[in-house]
Amino acid sequence: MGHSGITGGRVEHGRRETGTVVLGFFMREAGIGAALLLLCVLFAVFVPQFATRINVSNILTQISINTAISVGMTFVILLGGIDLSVGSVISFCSIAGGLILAKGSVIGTPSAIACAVAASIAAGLACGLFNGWVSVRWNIHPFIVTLGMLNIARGAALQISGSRTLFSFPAAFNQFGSQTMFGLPIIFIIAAALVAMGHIVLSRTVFGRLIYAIGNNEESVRLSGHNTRFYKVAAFVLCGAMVGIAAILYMLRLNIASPILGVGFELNAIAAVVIGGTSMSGGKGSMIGTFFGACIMGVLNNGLLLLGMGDFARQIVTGFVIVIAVILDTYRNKLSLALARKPDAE
Amino acid sequence: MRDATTAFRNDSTLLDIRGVSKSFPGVMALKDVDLRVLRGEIHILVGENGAGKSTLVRTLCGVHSPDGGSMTLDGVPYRPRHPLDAIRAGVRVVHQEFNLLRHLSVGENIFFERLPTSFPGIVDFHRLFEDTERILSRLGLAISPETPVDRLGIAQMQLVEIAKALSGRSRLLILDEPTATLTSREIGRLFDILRTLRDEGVTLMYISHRLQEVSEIGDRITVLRNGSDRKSVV
Repeated sequence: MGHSGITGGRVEHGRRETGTVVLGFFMREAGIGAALLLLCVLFAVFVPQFATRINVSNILTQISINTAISVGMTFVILLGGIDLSVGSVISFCSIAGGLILAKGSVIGTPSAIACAVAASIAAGLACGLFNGWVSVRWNIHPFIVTLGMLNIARGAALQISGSRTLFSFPAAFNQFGSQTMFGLPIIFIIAAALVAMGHIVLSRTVFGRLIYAIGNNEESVRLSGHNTRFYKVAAFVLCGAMVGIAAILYMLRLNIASPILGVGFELNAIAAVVIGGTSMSGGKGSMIGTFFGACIMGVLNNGLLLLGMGDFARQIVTGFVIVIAVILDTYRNKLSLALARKPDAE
Repeated sequence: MRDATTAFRNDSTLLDIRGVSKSFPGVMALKDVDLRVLRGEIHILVGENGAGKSTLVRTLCGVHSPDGGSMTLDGVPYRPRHPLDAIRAGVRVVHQEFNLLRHLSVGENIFFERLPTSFPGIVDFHRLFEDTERILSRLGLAISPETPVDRLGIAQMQLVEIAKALSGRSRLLILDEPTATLTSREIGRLFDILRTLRDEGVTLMYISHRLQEVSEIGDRITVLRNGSDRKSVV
């Protein structure tokens, strides 16, 4: 009886919902992509040097390290966590790898490179494991644990290196870092590959979907039989691994390892994630958004520099952009919810 | 109580609660409660606020352990120590406050306890949305399985909760004041759906404090007053 009415409504309902899903996409990733595109067009029009091959290649190189870190940060923030230690951990990882690379003449170039890559990633994994395990085991907010790690990793980097900058890496390693592939800097290609893998993991795998689920409602996920602790630790471990890879990208780009590098990197990564539309309370966001966020920061920095704006002024602008991005995000949410729900009101 | 029901007790009783008590410091929340839910019925549990309905529900879904008394489900002793035990035993509760994952799709919400996979670890979205479509149409819910839950209205969210409970092997579906936030039109629709489910053989326990709903939807009713049951009316 009453059912015919419900069934009758199905066709028109279905059409509206499909429209909503498509709209939802445009309101999210595509909206940030459009902002990035607009920014690029503006700079291209007003700054003659902006749209040159060399400058674009520069931007891509500059955003690679932040992009790699932001991939890891996205996992952690989607869970409702945060990792303040990445800036220190990247220097610790670079020292772990750099010490081995600097011995290249002794142990042979290929094995030195292989060991350095492994050591750098392992150092990141270990820091991530500590962050995740401690915060889960004693139920301490990741903000505090990673604040501790921020000091631990920095201190360890300074201690192990004797507060020296390491260089004289194998020539083959340094040359690889300045190579291009398909006209793109190799370190950008590596960072882009991390974004692609991160995107697939988040959107297609059970692991990724549970990261979102835990960020949405941890209790509900726990009560349905999933081991939420495992996923929380795994997200931090993954973030640590990304930082380890970012450390390798750093050494490839600048051919040094330093115990004082990476100060403030955590803020750039968090900014990229937030500009990319990921909610700081977790459960909502995307890897593509994070990538666009990192691009927006890189393009803005580069374009304003070419416009002749000084360091301090650029910092002010970047700060405002972060805040404005979050404000726009709240409006975007309200607008898309209003559009989706309007037909229900009747 | 009619004697006929007593005669069929052994094979027609799904849930048998006998003499269950539960006290918290200073409060006797449940006092010697007897309750029998028959297979394939809509059993109403009514009572004023504070009569112990919520405590009974929490006991059934494994949040509280009873201090005394016994519970059997399908003739087997039923002692859930954790909400997971209840879910595994097929006792599912649709709570007043929703436990949905707001930013995930309807399909993921319904099946996230066990997402279908194509390769190990890779979600098979095609199958997920197909299975979801099937459950949604069973409930007469006309929404796309891909819709994020935060875009749904309250009544639709409620039905998604019910769909979630139906997706697993559920033997007893407990609805905790499901009409509290619905409009009268939505309530009518929900009742249609509950009757359909009952006719398909699902056993439902329906918690309410609105007496006018009782005659409309219920097969049998138990009244809780001050922590103990007063009457099971056929």
